Amino acid sequence: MLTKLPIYIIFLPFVSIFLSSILFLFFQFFSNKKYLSNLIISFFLIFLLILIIIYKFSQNLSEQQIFYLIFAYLCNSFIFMSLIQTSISSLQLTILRMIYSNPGISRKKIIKKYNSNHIFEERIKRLEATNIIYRNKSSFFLKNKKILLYLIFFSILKKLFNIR
Amino acid sequence: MFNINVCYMQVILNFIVFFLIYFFLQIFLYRFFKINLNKLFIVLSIIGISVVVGFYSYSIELLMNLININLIIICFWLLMPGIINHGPATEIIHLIANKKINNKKKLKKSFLKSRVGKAVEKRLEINISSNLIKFKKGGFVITKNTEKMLIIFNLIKRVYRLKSDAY
Repeated sequence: MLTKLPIYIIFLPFVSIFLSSILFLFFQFFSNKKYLSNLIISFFLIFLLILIIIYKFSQNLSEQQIFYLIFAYLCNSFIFMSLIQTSISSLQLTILRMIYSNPGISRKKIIKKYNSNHIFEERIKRLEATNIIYRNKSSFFLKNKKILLYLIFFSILKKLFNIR
Repeated sequence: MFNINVCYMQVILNFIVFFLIYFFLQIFLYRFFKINLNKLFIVLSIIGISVVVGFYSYSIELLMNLININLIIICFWLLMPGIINHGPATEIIHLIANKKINNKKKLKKSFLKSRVGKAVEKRLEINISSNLIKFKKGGFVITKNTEKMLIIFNLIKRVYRLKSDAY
């Protein structure tokens, strides 16, 4: 019975995210831009492709199928972006990597090697490199105001979940 | 045979209702009982049940809804640690944007004093409580499953030429 179903619709968001990941890989190799820009560009290009497909076949697609195609692609993209972001900046993963390369390491040594001073310097460097903040003499200022939307989104969620 | 005789918009509305119920259930359980539904075991169980239901339903509408539901559950699972734990970069942006602390020395002082000041210790505790690492002969070692997970993340890092923190 399942073979009679329009399987291509079911698989399209997954094929799309695979294409997006290939495009991201291509940009990483051949573009001088930062990974975040490459990630966002590859996401939007494939999203545009999905919208074109929906537009072309709109008469054959039901509302639910259109909703599925868009929603599943957005969710898949979020999952893919989280995987990429986790590999880069997850504190938890950094600690695990440290233990993996130094088996038997003590708590004291972990905190000595990777403490909050270290994290602060690293994050400042990355925020500068990704053009979110900029330095003026010995002060830092916000360059990309769009990041405030992200901050507001998380502060609303934190308030809803009652996390201080 | 499973058959859904409903208009398609109704199916979409049903999904939105599911999303809202799931979202507010999470808030209710976490806010009042500190219960976090986003556990790997729960996520895998829901996926397992969905695979069985989807396989025997013979309905594309149900299959699409099940995929959407599972994807939203995975997204919540990935989002929740970001809500519960305070990220260092978010804290720096918060200090610059909301607290108007711009001077590097003052920024660092406030950062170290803030809730992120003990981030490493907190993440270490999370790693222990989620059985990602164990204490052996006076030091920490990673478990077999964690090793596999690290191999996957290192592969992603290498393939996509990503530069990560320290390690």
